Amino acid sequence: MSASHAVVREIRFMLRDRAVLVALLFTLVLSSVAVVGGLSEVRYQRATLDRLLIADTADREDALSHQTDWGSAAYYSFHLAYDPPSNFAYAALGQRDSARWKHRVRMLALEGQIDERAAGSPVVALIGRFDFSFFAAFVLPLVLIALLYDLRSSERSAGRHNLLEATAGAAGRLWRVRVLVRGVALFIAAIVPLIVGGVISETAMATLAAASGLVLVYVLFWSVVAYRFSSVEESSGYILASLIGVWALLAIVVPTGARIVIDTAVALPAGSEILLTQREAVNDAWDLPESATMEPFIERHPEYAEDAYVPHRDGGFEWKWYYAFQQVGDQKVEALSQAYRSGRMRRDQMANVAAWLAPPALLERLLQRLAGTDARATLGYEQQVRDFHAALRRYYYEKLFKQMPFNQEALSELPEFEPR
Amino acid sequence: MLQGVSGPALLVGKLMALVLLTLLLLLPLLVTAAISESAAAGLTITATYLIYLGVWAAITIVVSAVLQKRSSVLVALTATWLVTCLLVPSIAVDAEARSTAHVGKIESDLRLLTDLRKLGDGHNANDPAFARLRDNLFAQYDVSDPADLPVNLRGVVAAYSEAELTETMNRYAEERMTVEANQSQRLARIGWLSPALAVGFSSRVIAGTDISHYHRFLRETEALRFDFVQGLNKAHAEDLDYTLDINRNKSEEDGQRARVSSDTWAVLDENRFTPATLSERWQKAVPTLTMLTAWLLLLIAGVWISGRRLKP
Repeated sequence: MSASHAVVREIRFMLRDRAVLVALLFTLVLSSVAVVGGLSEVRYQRATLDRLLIADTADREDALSHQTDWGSAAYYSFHLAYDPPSNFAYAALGQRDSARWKHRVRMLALEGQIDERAAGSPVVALIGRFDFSFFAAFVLPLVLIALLYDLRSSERSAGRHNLLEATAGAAGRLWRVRVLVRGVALFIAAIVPLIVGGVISETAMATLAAASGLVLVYVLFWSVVAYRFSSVEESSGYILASLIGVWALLAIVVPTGARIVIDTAVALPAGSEILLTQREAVNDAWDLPESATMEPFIERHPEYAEDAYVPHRDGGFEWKWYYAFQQVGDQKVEALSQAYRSGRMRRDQMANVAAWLAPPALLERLLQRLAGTDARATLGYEQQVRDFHAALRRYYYEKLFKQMPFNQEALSELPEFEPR
Repeated sequence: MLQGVSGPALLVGKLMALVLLTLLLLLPLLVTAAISESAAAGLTITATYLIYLGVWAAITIVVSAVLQKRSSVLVALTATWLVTCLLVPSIAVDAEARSTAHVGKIESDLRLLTDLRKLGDGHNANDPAFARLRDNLFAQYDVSDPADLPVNLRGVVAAYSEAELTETMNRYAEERMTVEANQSQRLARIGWLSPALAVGFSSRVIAGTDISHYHRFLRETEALRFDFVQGLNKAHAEDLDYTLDINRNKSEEDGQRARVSSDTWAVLDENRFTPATLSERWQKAVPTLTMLTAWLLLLIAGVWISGRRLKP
């Protein structure tokens, strides 16, 4: 009997098994629910961005049109910075629930503006969402276990086990083909909604192929585990309990344990500490001698050393001094802020390594990587906001320090945020 | 097999045994509750989790009585857990997030900013937005120059502008909090489908870490800030001479003269957030506790019924 014969026979056999069909339908439905949920969330985020972009431009143009000097222009105009969802984000929303993907920044001290948390509903953030990556990583293995745990023991209790092995020739191959057929069927039921979603959101073929490959390998991994356990000559109840135990270990215990260990090992400065230190530095500057602000500023910007003279309280207020102490406020917390960022990066790297011990966490992370919704993407976006803010400063510093005459036309050269 | 013990009695006995086991699981919670700051709240939470675990014990007994095969029981129980603990909550959250038109923070900030711009700049006493306030003051004291007013015009304008600003901002904050509270309430109702959601909401309410406490904290902090700022504005209006004030940037000396005592800061009250009383929290937890209790009673009835079907 050829291999293809065996496969065809197993497919026929599977299609007559009501329990298998129910499991496949269950998978198809859940995967569709996850994909539809992800698609509509992404559509909502895109629509929000579209509205915001229009409102932001209108608000800025309105604010700028009333200004007659550079300092006020910088003070009253906000700029939208944002991280649009990738066209695979529907499959893995990842950090987009808890981390900010849009900011409105202006030329004041940056640290106070960048670390605001995403202001979604707190209860929603508490419970978490059901997206494809969650479904594939955590739910799919359970369905697979339910499909495969009694592969042999059911035939054994039906009295067909030995007969089947005898007629099938190579004993092991029969079971391996059966496991493979069921595993691949489950994979197809899970992946079809993802592909349809990908076609709708015009995901790159390479991304979809990579995601499908990952899920396939993942399903095969769990198939092998289930196959190994089902070969043990024990009751099906015992096999099932052990498999669920393995699942709980890999999906819950190891990832949670790893997170606790990593969070303890890599301490993070509190975001509020950064905020408070920066605020106090900026507030104190009002009462400090001008040199206390201008000296550390010039250290960073020697190109303005000649233009940094701020007359001492001559009845006026100097915008260049004001923005200089905003920047010096940022400089004061630079070390803290850097530690905060590198700490988060370090935690993420360690979690990446630890994920190799827990395949469900690994799959979830890899899908988030493909979707650009992982911690690395969040940090990358944060860096973009920092770069944009730096460009704003470059633009206005030149005008303020070189005392260029204000003109509305020059405002069209204001830097614009370019999302990746 | 039953040797004179009735089916229901046998299953209820099994249920008691399982509940005893869950008591063991609750031991760490019980110990920490007993030595915690608020033992009454801690013990209430422990009791809540006892009901919750009782629900699962009863589910286990019912399913294992109805299904014969041990492995089918495990599959059914795992599926029940998957659906009630993972799927129902996260799908409900998804649906909730989509159905409520939850206006994003930036969007409402934009609208807020537009509204605030209409209010005028409180740091600028000459802003046309305050012309009427100024005219009224002039009329009241029958003067035509701000320097002749018995109060510092700049402080009066600052206080007036602060009150208006705060009123507008609070309106937006209230709008947002209402949306969030409604969202939370609708999600709590899904507890009828998921005991895991119900126990989560109950224990957060009793612990005083739920959304209503969070909102109350925000409101109290805002009230504290407002009183503090208005205290300073009052000092600005009453204790700081207008002429000294407008000349504050003339020289270092003038700058020093245009100051009020740092004791003015004492208007910032000590404030410590206290959660609602336990009985209030208890009352708030009643809806979700009712769900849990209903689940438990229903399942105990289920245990009884499936026990009667056991044939000796």
